[in-house]
Amino acid sequence: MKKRFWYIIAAVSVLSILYSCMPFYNVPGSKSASTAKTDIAYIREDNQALVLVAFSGGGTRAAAMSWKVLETLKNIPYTYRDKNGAVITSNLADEIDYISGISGGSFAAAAWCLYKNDMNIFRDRFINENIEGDLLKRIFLPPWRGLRLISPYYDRIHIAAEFHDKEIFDGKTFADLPSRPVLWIHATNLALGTRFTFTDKSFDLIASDLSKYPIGYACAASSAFPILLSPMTVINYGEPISLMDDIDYKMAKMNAREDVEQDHYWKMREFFNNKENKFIHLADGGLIDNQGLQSIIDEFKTNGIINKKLNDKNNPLKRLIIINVNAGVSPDDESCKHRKAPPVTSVIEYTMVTSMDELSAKRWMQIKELCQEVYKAKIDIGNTTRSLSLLEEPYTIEINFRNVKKDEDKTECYKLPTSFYLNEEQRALIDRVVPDLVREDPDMIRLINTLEKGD
Amino acid sequence: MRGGGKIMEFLKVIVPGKEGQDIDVLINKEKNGKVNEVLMLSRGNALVSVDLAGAEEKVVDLRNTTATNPRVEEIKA
Repeated sequence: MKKRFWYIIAAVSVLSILYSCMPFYNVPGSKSASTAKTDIAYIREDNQALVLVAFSGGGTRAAAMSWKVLETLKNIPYTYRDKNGAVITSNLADEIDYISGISGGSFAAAAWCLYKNDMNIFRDRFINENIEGDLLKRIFLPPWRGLRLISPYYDRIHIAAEFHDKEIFDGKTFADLPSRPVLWIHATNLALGTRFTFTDKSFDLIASDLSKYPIGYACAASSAFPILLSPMTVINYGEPISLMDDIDYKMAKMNAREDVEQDHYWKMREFFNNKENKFIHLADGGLIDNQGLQSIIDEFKTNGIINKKLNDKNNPLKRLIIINVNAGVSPDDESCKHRKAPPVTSVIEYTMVTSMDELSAKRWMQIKELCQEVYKAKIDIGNTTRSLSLLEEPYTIEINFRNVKKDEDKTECYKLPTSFYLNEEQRALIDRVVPDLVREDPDMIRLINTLEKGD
Repeated sequence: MRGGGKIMEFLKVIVPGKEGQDIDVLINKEKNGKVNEVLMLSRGNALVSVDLAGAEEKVVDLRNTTATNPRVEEIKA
């Protein structure tokens, strides 16, 4: 009898521990119930400009670089006339309409939306902090926290997510975001190898309410680099529907043979529509798009934000500004100095980083080509087509360590680690080189000249 | 990603008998531009209509157009 009592106590204790080990998951709900603002229609005072910024991955290096870019943009005056003709003085950072972030860059993108009025908050909590060390401490202290890892559902990513949620973002959810800029945090859907962006649109597909989802968890998913961190799981609450009633699905299927993104879209719809696919496992957004540039390319396509603005004759677009903050580095490759083949870890790194960099470079070139296509249309028919009549040549601005002028600084930048800790010297280097990278980009020079002329 | 090359195509939607009116064009059932204007869209199929009750819907395969030589589609409404 006594033995049975202790068995029951033990069983209850195990169940209690397992219950406390259940991580937070996204909750069911619909867009109509949501107050999240990631898909709110584009509304702003200066209706003639559209500013999109993309922050790449790269751990704290990417976050620090992105933050310094924002600080620099804040010092570039931006003046425009409102609907009543009054002159409004602003700055380029405050004119950002859409901000996209991957992995390390997702923290800076989210922080800009939440803490733009006090930029020291993010600097103190994230950039100047040893996040890696803090995360390790959290695994072992207090000791019971580490025990939670014995649960099959609670993993390293949840320790990271809880830390980001509490220590970086004050428990804020997507409902706490301002209506502008619109935030896009990207992760990778591992089962499909496609992008998963934390927007109302994506959450609607899994019948979940984004407004209740913590921003720290989205950033954790975006930075869940394979092996180092486990994937983040979100639950698909959707019930199967007849997809043939959905026009986006139908058109994507028709266009799939000549557009990879359309091909991804219809496959994703079928995947989410399958009741057996109850759990979506998300990993680092950089696995398929390390600079978040594909999301900008998609906005040029039919019914994208850029596309609709370019076709809007009632509020013709004057200024399209795309800023690509690329924190990529190129450390010296020592392997070519030795006869011995590089170790497996290096080969894995080459395989992942090379393909990621190659794809990102092509995507950036594609954005530049799209801007040229659009501007050529303005030259050809701008005098007869009101929607294109005001369009200036689009500005494609790239902030990249490759463009550091001083060789010693460039070499040091290329040595910056991909980790969630930078020492004081490394942070000072980023703060020193980034303002020049921003101001010396040829399209930024052209933009500043145009702004100074007051055009 | 496409294999590079031109992505944008050009379309002009006309509603016979309503030439002077400021009518929204519907692309894949979303408002995108106005009738009688050259619109930029991506290459491939699009469901084209206008924001008028009972307006015709057409799947249009856009390719090989230019800004100066857009595809012109009449939508009955």
